[in-house]
Amino acid sequence: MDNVLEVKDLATYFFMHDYIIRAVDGVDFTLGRGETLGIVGESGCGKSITSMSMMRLVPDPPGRIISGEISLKGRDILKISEDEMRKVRGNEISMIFQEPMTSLNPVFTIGFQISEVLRLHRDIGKQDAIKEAARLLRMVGMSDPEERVNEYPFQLSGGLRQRAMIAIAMACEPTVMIADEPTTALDVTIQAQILRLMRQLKETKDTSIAFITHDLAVIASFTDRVMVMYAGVAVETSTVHEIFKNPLHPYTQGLLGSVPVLGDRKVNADGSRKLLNAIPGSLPDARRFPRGCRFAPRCPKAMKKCWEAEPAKVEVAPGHQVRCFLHHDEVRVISKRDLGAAGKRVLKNQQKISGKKKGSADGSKTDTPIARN
Amino acid sequence: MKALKQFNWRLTFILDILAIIMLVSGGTNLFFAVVLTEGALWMVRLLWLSPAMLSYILRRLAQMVPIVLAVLALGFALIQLAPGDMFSQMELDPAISRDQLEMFRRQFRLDQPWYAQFFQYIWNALQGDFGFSRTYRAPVFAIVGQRAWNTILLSLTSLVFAWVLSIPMGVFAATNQYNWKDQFVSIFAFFGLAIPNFFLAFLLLYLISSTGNWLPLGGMTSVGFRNMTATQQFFDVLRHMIVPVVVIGTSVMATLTRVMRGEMLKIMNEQYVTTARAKGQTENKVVYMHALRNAINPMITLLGFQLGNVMSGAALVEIVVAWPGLGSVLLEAVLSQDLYLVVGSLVYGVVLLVIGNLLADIALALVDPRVRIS
Amino acid sequence: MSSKNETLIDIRGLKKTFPVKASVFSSKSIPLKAVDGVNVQIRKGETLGLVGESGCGKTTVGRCVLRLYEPDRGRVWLDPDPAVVAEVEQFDLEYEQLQSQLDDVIAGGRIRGAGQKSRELKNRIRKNRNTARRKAMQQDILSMGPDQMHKMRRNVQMVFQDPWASLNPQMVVSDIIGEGPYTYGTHKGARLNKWVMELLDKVGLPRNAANRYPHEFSGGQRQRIGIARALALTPKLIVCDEPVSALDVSVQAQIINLLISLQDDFELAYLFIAHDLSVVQYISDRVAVMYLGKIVELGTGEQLYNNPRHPYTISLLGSIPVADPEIKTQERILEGDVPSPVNPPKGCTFHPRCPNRIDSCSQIIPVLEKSQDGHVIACHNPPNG
Repeated sequence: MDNVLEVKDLATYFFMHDYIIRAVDGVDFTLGRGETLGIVGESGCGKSITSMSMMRLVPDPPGRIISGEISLKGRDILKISEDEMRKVRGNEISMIFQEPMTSLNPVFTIGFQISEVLRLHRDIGKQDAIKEAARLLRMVGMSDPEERVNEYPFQLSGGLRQRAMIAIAMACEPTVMIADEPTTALDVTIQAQILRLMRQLKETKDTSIAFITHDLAVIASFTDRVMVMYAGVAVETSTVHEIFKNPLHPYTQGLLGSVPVLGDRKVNADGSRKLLNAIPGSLPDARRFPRGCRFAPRCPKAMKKCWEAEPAKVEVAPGHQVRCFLHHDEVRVISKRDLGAAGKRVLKNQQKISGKKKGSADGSKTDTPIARN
Repeated sequence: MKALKQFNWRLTFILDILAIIMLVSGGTNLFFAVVLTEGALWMVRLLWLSPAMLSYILRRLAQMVPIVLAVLALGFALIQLAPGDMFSQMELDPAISRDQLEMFRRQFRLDQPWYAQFFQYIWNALQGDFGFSRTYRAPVFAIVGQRAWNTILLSLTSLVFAWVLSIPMGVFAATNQYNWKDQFVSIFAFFGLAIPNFFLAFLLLYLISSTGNWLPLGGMTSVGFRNMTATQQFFDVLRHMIVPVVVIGTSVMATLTRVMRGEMLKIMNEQYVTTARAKGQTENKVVYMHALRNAINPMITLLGFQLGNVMSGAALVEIVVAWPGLGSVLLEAVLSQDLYLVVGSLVYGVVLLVIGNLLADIALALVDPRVRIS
Repeated sequence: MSSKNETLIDIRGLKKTFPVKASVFSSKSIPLKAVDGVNVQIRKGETLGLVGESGCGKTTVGRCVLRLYEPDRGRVWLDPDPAVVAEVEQFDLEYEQLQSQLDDVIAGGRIRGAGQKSRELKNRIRKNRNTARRKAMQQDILSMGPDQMHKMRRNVQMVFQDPWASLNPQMVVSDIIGEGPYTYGTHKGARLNKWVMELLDKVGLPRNAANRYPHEFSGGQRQRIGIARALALTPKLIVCDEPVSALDVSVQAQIINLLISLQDDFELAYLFIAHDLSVVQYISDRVAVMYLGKIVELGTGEQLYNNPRHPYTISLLGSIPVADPEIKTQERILEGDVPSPVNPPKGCTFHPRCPNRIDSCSQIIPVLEKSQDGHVIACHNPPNG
């Protein structure tokens, strides 16, 4: 499978007044043609920021992509100009969002909002664009598309709005579609409809999809490969079968154990109520990640080593990468990152607050003391 | 009916333009005719486009009746509570005999019990007759009518001025959030909020008079106004309006800029703005088409309230720059205890305010599809 | 020790409509039938799951039980005495008859004697209502006066969905938890303090949490505070309105575990409302599936999962993706959207989307029927026999 998208060492930081949020801190993955990659994780793990970084839509300030490479069909889109990037957005990479209620502009008609993207990237007239919009609406399974183009978002139900969003995203037949929790806000029966539609479109158009969600069941039924994220880094990447049958990282294992499965027996053999295998504790503060492995404070199998150094992401079996010392001994080497003027400003504010007059011995060169406390 | 549907209703705006041309060229005499035509025109449009909205407007107008009645009652109570009546002062005048006074009083039904007077007052008020001004020795209606028009002219121009400036300023501040450009606009806005209107008016007048009187210092018209052509008259009034409009506009602009900035910041965080960017839309279009179009709606809701603000703000400024509006009349009337004039001006003000609010609501309905179609 | 089969809450004929404006410019309002005749019992110490898609009325049922919404019709018996229930039932039946007689008289128009007859009927209806109310007052939550309500609130508490909005940001945790016991005087002074500490231990929060403010906690911890607050009066029933849907997956599991273990410690009954069928099925003894304001199927978790009988439940189960990549079957996907509760379809409200519909479905409203194993459905033509 040839890769249409390759992401290497992507890091997106948010420079706040006196601290840095390392939302995405070194994420690597590839996306093959026609492949669906599930990006799974809990809120604050950096999955949405990863997708916004792929579109180069991280709000700046305070956010900034500080390192990495995102090559789309061999071209690094982090290096191209903003004008060129605009030609990529909506055309080669498109996006759908979680909230169908708020992701369409309430004051413009559906037809206008679909034709807008067509007119940006295709040489097409106003009337033809509206006709094309109607055709797209039919494609996403809407009845009476000729009338729907004149309707406003508030006249449509949640499911229909998400269909309209998909029509916008598919309008220019993009190479990659990023779906950021596209079914989370929908009811299960509507979710099933939308997933079926996306599956059909993916197969007919051969689109690659980056599917971001927290719902493991959706991941299982919809994706080919899975990347599990925790606290800004990818902890495990593998095929969907491997992830569910043979999860290696304790976090992945915990996540799978936390979800009640339909039809599960609720009583243990001795008659007591069965409990879920919940992961204790809560997500670490993105301002100060633990020094070693970021999952160590919650990990049932944490060793002394886990608190001291961060493991690297290593391929332990074909196509199965994991960031855990249980499976290898390699320590992660973080490439030196230039935090620029914003980083210096944060450091200065930090020193002002902590009352130090000069930069501490270890705080002047690297980024780590800023965020790692 | 089908022909009606195919006809683009926006073409009827030509009639509005004609009305405005009539108003500008024909002057104030045609004012009421034009207002009536416009009113009728909108009724027809609504009947045609949205009967639900027409019934809403009619209902709102009906709701106005108790408000106006309450204001009238209040005004009447004021007059009744004050000692004496409007002819009491004449009693001291030896030139007027007691019989004559009695006749006057009979003429104005002041000899009758209070409730009869009240209904008479309402009956007259409904016909636009708010009694007789003692100081001007003319019917209140004649005085207030012309003055009200002047106040409306001044208020609306100030509002337009404030809107035209505050929207781009608010957008500018929002898109440059927290850097020096935003701070500058904020400082300007707070300055406008903090400085009292009358003081700013004096300040401007002082500046103009000390730099060579390049703008008129007061009034609404120049000396030779009657002999000017229509165009000359137009520009003459415009020149006189600059100082009061800037003064009133500044304070309104301050509020509006802050609101606009806040709304824009809120809207720029909305998901659909990101959607627009994700489509590959240019930043300018994202801001000025997708975001601005949504940020405007709350501003229109504010318009109704702003009208009240502007009119009360205008009252003070009118006095400073000698603009012949309701404000200066009100002040004179209060000072000379000319109660019929006071009440008349109040009622006019209230009616204008209620209508202004209604117009703002209708405007909101017209720009927001969520309100328009339901 | 109360036995598990005793009825704690008996909801009968619960109806609630909300007025919605026909349009922005209209003064008329149309009734939206949020809950349209719900009958369900909760036994002591059991968990009843209430599941359905958004707008099906599940939250409204929960709120009506606590009278956070004032229902239009129906009764919610708390610890009912069967004799009283039967007696009041008679009055309610009589009321229905009188009301229909009155409707007939009014429909008959202005014939001679109609005025007097309708006056007479109205009088009887008023008397009937007053007597029924007086008789039901001690046990029916919906008929209770302020005094009885005050007593009732000790026994029925609620845990809300949004852990961010449901705790007063101006109060420290110990005050939030201790407010109920303080008001009801169940614990005083040092004992109150000890009780709060005990509750913090029970819900798995550190004791030093007592003097901190809600904003210092994460979503999961706030939900624990909310649960401790609900527990403070040792209620018999806690209505849990989507208590885990705002939480992350790993935290969600912690809260579910907590709710399960507290149930044994405190002999609690839960009315567990959620849209996630797997969560509901996991925690509940019995599950009621709602669709457009009505219960369409009610059975034990196992019955519902292994042998769903209502076509809606079957499609609901079919729509849920399974966390197992080996299973990729999604045989039944429901088409279309849930119809508007303002204008629900005639007959069975599910019939326009139902793959199993027969002619009578669009005409006659199906009633809940119990099969021998206690599995209840409302369907004219259930697919599995």
